[in-house]
Parts: sequence; structure tokens; C-alpha cells
Amino acid sequence: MTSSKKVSPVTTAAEKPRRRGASTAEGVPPVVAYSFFPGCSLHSTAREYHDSVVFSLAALGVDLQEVDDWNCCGATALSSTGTLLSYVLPARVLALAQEAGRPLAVACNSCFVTLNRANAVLDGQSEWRERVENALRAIGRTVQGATEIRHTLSILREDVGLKRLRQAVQRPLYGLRVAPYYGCQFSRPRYADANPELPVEMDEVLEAIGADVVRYDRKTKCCGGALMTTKEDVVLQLNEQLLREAQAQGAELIAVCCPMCQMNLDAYQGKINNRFGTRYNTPIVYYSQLVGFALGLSEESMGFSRGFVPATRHLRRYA
Amino acid sequence: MWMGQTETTVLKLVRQETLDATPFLEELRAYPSGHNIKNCIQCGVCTASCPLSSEMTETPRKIIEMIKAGMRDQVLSSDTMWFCASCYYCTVRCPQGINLAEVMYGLRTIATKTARNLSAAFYQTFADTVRRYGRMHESDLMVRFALRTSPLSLLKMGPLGLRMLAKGKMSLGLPSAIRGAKEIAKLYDKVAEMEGGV
Repeated sequence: MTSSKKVSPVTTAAEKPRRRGASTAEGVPPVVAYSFFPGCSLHSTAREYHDSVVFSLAALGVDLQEVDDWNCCGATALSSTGTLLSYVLPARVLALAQEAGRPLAVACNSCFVTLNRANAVLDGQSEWRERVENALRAIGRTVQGATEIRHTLSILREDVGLKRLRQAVQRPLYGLRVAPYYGCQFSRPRYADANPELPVEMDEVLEAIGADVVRYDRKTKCCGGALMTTKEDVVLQLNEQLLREAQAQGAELIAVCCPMCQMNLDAYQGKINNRFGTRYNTPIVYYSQLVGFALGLSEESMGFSRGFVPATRHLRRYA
Repeated sequence: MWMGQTETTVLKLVRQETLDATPFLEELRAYPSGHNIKNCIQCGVCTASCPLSSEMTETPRKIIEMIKAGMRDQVLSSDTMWFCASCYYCTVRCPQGINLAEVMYGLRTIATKTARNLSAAFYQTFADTVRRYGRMHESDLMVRFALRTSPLSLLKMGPLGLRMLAKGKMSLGLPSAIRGAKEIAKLYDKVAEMEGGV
């Protein structure tokens, strides 16, 4: 398999064209194109998620164009302080995405839910919709009904597809025992086309790149998210349980699809060990880092060194 | 028998009437999923599914019944909604279609107006940060949050903060605002105006 074949976007588009209203002239390979909403975490604490998603999807023929001058979606903070504003802030992002004329790709679980939550309001006919539109008019922006919003994990699983992903692998991660941890807001409350309690998308993606996916029953249990700041004691317990099961199942590392989960499990792992007298040493990586690495992208460009618990020792055998 | 049945039906109707008329239930109708709280059948699936119910003074099932009973002050001063992690287990499992995670947001929003606790301060600081820059900046948020609550906690956060800096996960540079920061501030003002504030 040549590397040029690896990045050919033709197959992808033929399998499932996603670009709206694109006139694809004969012979011009259409590209799967999305607007991309990175969100605040991917620009700071989760830069490795940003880079690995953008680089690995690009290598698979998916073009992500960052939404120009996007704003914070508001996460759980805005929905805890003001309902209307918690719809209006993400609605500005949806308006920007509609101006760009592409469906919207989102990588962070929290942003994914927050944007979809506003999108659902704009899709309906409630008075909320009128109020959101009214507020947006104050800044001269409009949003027309619903926007197509996709999680990057779904894009990988469905647009690229397992077959193409498998074919593009240059460094199969045979024997790497990975626990797939989805957290809550990929599959709940049902914004992605996934089973809310037992999603399989990440399992399948990891299998396609050769990894040995371990059974992980806590795959959609909660890590506590932002409560780490306000309710640290109990949230440390939740994360200890997550690490315990991964270890019991023989996982070498945990793959995640959310910056909150990554932060809680990784940056607080030392604290968990101190608190509970445990000796966890489990790297917490994004699925996209493993995908990019399997595609042949460098360990460095996938940002593996940015984790608090180093993943390097587990990847050395594939280098 | 006949009399008994009638009595039950009448009592039910009276009870339902009372529930519908509870001012607090009416107040919550202005918030997402507030309209169907009264459909709760007290099955307890929410409490059983909640990863944090064991920490709450009032469990989710109980808080719903308290809402229905119009116990506004007790509900708003409980810690239940501040323990909600928005995991949406209750929401996807509720047989009555109540989006309890949304109800918790509604309770927080009402409580935030008067509550003086760590959680309310955190969410309010977050909202202020977004208003200022259009985006969230971890270091700025954490420093302002600490100054607002307990400045000494800055020392406690120090070690993790330093490691985050070393990993390039945080920066000490002054946060920069997005170009559309004025739009964001305008949206905050417009919403406040629409909600009758300012």
C-alpha cells in the first residue's frame, strides 16, 4: 500500500458524500468538508486532541475548517446561570457555521452537547427559538433552523468508515490493550447516533487500527466533569473507580474522546494515588492520537508527551 | 365500593389540581423540561442511575416530589443540583420523559440569583470570563474563582498549576479576547434586557 493511496479522498466521498450542494465536476476529487468547532479546551489543556484530530482526519480525506472567531459554547456554566444565554452563545457559533456553509464538526463532548442543545431549540417552534433569534438580531446575525452537527468520533467511524481506516493503517497497534472510555456526553442525551449506555464507535475505531480493545463496563460512567473544581473529594472517587476497572481488565491505557475526562483521569491520577493508596500509572490518550500514530504520523506530532502519565513506553514497540 | 371509587377519583382530581397550581411548579415551567415534572411517578430510576445521589442531602427522586409539593425554599437551599454532573443517565432512563438534567440546570439558575456557595461562584465566574473574552481561559478563570472564594486556595492549586504550565496545558500570558468580544458582551446585555433585568 502506497502512502498516496492512503490519503485518496475519492473513496470516502463515493461512499458517503457529505458536502452540501457541492458541484463536483468529473475528475475533481470531492473532499469531506466540515466547519470545525474546537472549543476552549482544545486551544489550551487539550491541544494534543486538537492536533491529533485535525492531522489524522486530514490524512483520511476529511477537511476541517476552523470556524472563524468562534466563541465559547458556555458549557455547563451558562446553563447553570441563565437559560436564554445558554442557548444564545452556542447559537452564535451555529450562525457562524451556517455562514460558512458546511456541517459542523465538534470534538469535545461537552461542546457537542451544548451546541446540540441549542440546535434542538432552533430546530423546533418554541418561544425559545423566537427569543434566541431575537437576541442574535442584536448583533446582526441570523440562524436558519437546525445545523448538522457531528462528533469527530462519528465522522471517523461513519464518514471515513472502518474499511478505509483499516486500509490506511501503516502501524497496526497489535497487542496494545486499550480500554475505550466514552464518558457521558458523547452518547447521552442521544445527540450522536449511538447507544446511550453502550456505544461501540470507539471500540470499532480502535479495533480497526489493530488495538486489542478490552471489555470496559464503565465506558459510559461519569468522571464528574467540571465538578472536579467544586466537589473534588467525590469526583476523585469516581475517577478511582474508572482507573480500577481499566486496570482489572488488563488495559495498558485508556482512550478517551473528551477533554474533561482526559484531564480528570490524567492530571489528577497522582492525587488519586495519594488519596487512595493506589499505584495507577495508566496513560489517558485521545482515540485520535492512537489513530494518527497508527496512520504513521509521528509520536511527537500526536502530542503524546503532553500527558501527565507518559504513554511513550507503550508505544515504543510500534515505532 | 361505588362510593369508595368516587372518593378516590375525586381525591385524585383535587390532588392533581393542587399540584398543577403549585406556584413553584408554575415558576419552573419557564425552564426546559419544567412542564412535565408533574408526570413523575416516583419510580426512583433517576436516583438509582445517578453517580452522585449518595452525596446529595436530597436524592433526585425526592427533590422532584419536593418540587411538586411546592417546597421552594427547601429545594433551592438543597445541594442536590450542585452535585449534578450532567451525565444524563436519569434523562435517558426516565420512563416519563422528564429531562431531569435540564431541571437541575433550571434549579441552579434560580438558586444562583441568591445562592452564596462555591458552585454558584464557580459558574458565575465562568460566565463572567466568557463575557470578558468570548472564550474561557483556564488560568484566568481559576485565579478569579480563587479570589472570589478563598484566595488561600491559590496556594493549594499551585503544584498542579505549575505542572500544567510545564506540559503547556496552561499559559501565564494575558488572555486575549476574540474579535467578536463586543458581540458577546452585547448578547449578554440583550439577554439581560429581554429577561427584564439591567
